[in-house]
Amino acid sequence: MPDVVVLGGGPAGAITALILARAGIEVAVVVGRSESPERCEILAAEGRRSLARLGVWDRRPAGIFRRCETAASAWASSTLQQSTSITNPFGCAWRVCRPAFEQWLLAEAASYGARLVIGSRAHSVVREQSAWRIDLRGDDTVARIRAGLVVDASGRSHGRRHWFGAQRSRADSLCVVLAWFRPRGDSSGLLVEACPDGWLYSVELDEDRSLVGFATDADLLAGLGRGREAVQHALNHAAHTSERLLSLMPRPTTTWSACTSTLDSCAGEGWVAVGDVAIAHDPLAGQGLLFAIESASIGAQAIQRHLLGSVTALPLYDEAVRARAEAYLTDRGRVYARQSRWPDRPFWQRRQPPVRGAPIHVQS
Amino acid sequence: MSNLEDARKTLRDFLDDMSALKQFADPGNPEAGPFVNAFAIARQHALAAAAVYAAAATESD
Repeated sequence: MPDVVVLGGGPAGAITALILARAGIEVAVVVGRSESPERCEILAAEGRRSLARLGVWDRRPAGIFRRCETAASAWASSTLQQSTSITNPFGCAWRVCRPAFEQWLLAEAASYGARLVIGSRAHSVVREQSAWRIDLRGDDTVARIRAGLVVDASGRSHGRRHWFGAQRSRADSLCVVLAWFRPRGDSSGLLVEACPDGWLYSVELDEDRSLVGFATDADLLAGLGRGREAVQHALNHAAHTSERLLSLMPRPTTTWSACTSTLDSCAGEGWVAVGDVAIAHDPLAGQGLLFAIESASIGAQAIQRHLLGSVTALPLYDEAVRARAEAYLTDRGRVYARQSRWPDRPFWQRRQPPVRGAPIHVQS
Repeated sequence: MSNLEDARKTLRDFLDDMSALKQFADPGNPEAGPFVNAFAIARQHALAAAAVYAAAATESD
């Protein structure tokens, strides 16, 4: 029986497993068949320091991280605001090939002795006396595993009810439609641009392809024609992003949930939540990967101290994550409130601070 | 365990928490990383635990 089972093989799960395995703790990681579709994410500049602190940055394989030296946005007004990494003491941000990043971190964890259970998902997690019983299901397999402590790193796709009794609060129903395009010129820097029904981001994925993501609410997407049609609709109202595009590629679009959500408790008797399941960030914040790395680092340290008999380690981790969630939600509200060009459009109306005395709109 | 031993263990645990979280605290850059406040939270708890420990030690004299 492993000391710890990690549910989920994304960055947060893999890093938790890596740290625990390196400390000599028996750890198994349950990795779904495909944790992540092909996509490019931005790792904030501080992420390099976090990975260096873990001792893995210098071992990174070629091609996973590409420098993102500039960022531009047309948010509060249609004028483009440019920023460069030269003023950031942590250096530049990074464009990360997400699937390769996950595979690399899992390989690092395995190299320290973490056991990978690939192709399965947790079907049920039940407390039995002082241990957890986890029933796993794969395409054709069923397995059972027991552990004294479970790390939930199952990501943002986890449902509203949490295995360990925590409640999830969802702040919106944001989703992102991703499309590939051939760039007109250099699109290596990140560009964010607000439009009437949401906002767009675009960045170079590799030498031949760039990626454009249209973020809007799931219920609004239905009225915009979904998929490519929705992206095209958004592009018609986003001059700076359109300027980057030579043409959208015929490849099918993908849509993924990008809603902001938080858990009311991130650690308890024999369990800890790390990464997106604890706080799912709006991609606008550019904090998702950094939070995955840091919550896994702090969470794994808390687990080590807990296993050594600390009574404060897990409650303190829980408190730190909840404080972080509160700060993040405040920041997110502030950023959306700065954009006021389309006050009559539902996407932006939902994100404006409530007017005193007005009824509060609650999304289901 | 006695109150004094409980208080001592809690204080020790929070001091260990502070030690582990110190690497994430970067007073030179308050915007650094999502967990920049984790160390400050641990420190607040350690100070409170120290007061509890001091009171328990006084009682046991």
